[in-house]
Amino acid sequence: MSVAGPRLPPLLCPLTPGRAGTPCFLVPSAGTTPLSLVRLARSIAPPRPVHAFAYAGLEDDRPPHETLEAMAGAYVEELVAVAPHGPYLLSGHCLGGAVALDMALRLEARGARVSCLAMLDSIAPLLATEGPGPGDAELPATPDAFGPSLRSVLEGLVERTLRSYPALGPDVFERLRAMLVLHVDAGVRYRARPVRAPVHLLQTGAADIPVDDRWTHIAAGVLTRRMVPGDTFSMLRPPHVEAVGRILGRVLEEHA
Amino acid sequence: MTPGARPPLETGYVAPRNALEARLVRAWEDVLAISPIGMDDDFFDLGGESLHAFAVISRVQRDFAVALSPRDLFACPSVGAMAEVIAERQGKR
Repeated sequence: MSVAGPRLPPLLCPLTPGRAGTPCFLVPSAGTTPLSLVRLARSIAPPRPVHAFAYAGLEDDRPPHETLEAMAGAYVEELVAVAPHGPYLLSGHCLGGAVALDMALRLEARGARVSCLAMLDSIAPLLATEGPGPGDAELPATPDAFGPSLRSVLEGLVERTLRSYPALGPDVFERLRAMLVLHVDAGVRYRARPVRAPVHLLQTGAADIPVDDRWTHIAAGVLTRRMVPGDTFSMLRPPHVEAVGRILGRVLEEHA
Repeated sequence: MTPGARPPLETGYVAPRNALEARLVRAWEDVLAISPIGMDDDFFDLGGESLHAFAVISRVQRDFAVALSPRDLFACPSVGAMAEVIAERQGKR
């Protein structure tokens, strides 16, 4: 028997209350919260309900998930509790794309259909067939692996945080930095398997995201690539977020 | 950092109505680098994101000794709404 602790809010967080239609489920990028996706959720056209998942331990007192599989497993449990039947529309921003991919694999293993997997500036994770990678010991240094870009994103985030958010208390800053490192590490260690769901890449062409063909091995079915304006971060902000919302909205509409 | 001007918003500008709101809006203005911010202005329309939320709740913890979560921004996305929550939690002590 488990001991009941204080009731925690769900990780699943509705971003667009009051909307009708097939919902889209979004996973934010490393170290960020569902708040980061509110502008995008509001910009998705045609409008549909959008929900996002929070990372355990980032804004609550849960123990953090240390692997991407643990994140995806927890999110799928909450997802099927609110939407028992697919087909599902999934999307993820940056690292969140790899989490959404693992969610799709889990849902497909349960016999559910994922009708759309939209990757917002996500680097393809390493493949299970690639065996242990340099990322298993530490963040890899090879230019084409999952790690360096995310590490540069991480370093950029930490730097930007220091520079732009003087109001961030040192305890909050340290917690954020620790969570970012943990998320990036989980992404580097993750190994992807091929997914049946159609994979749609929305890419900004930002210099730090290598365009690699690993997605062609991950997408067992349809794979499309669309360019969107901005960079990994500015794609979620005005003025770019309006265009990104329209493009993502059309992709979702095709599969809803 | 020089604050930016208030962006065009659907909400009209409402000035702080009490000391709590006046103190809280200073925290929001510092974090979002926008001035002035009205009591009904929406956090997300002001460009608020994850890190801004962490910075705001960090300031609220320091200035008001009230612990909020970033997710509370969904329930109280304006200075006016957040001030009510802070007052309510302070009143419970």
